[in-house]
Amino acid sequence: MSPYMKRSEKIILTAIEILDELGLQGLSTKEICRREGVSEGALYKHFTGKDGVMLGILGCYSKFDNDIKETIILKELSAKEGITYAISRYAEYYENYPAMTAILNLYETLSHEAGIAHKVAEIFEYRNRFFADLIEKGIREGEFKSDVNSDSLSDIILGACMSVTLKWRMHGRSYPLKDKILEAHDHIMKFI
Amino acid sequence: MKILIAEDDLASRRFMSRFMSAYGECDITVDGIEAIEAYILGLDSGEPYELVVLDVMMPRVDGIKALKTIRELEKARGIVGAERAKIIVTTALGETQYIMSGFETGLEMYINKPVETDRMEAAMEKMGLLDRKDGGSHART
Repeated sequence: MSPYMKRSEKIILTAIEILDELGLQGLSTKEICRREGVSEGALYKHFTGKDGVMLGILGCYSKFDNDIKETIILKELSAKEGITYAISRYAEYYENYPAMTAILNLYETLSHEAGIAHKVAEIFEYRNRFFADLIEKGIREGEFKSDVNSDSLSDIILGACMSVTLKWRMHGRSYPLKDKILEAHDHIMKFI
Repeated sequence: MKILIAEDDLASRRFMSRFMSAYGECDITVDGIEAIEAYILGLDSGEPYELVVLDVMMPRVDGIKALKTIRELEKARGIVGAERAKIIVTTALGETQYIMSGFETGLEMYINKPVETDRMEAAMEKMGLLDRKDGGSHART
């Protein structure tokens, strides 16, 4: 990696690769240091341990959440446009950064780790609330049927993304992820 | 003109490569780390890039971070003012705080995706990279 990157940033990126290749069990400070060619002491200068690294990974994972929300507001997108826009952005980002998708299916496991449970909950709740709020806007403005339950529909939209991504990972990422996510999303949008 | 393009999306990458090759020699990278490394190689080889086009939402290192790193590199090597590469950011995001932070570190221009060729041309003209003659735009030599 570029010598011009901060050590802490390199550690996070390496940790994301390890998480993707070896899963949560394989993510250890020892493995990170081995790949980075540094001592564990050097890692501990930047992070409090595996939990600290995981917090960094989760920061990377969610770093565009606010920008996506802000863009929907700035561009004055309708609820349906906004939801589709957000799904497209995430789908494209995950397709082009497959390693990042390792985190999608770890929410529940990570929520049991005392040092990072708060961050996991924050990201999970933010995304659920984000979609639920857009759906509620859609209901108010007559884009969606009035009997739509915003929380349930948010679960369905996010659940579809997670399921499609899991299937993609289990099938060796052998086809375009974005196409599949948007296909599933289009089906959902037709029914509301 | 030597052009560096950083774009992770395949379709966008193909489009940008095809379009921009009319204006100069294009090198393509797929994330911010590759872009920074290519930029350094350009400096080290004595053939620096005149124009860098950075997507924002890229794997590993995003376009704004790559921009900031490139500017830091230039500063460290005493490359200032007109000698600096012109940098355009392309993004499907709006004028969010994060994008706007790029202007504080030497972003010249940003263009919304999908990129329209006339907007890209207008941006390059505005930055003094193109001349208009014979009814078309050409890289300034």
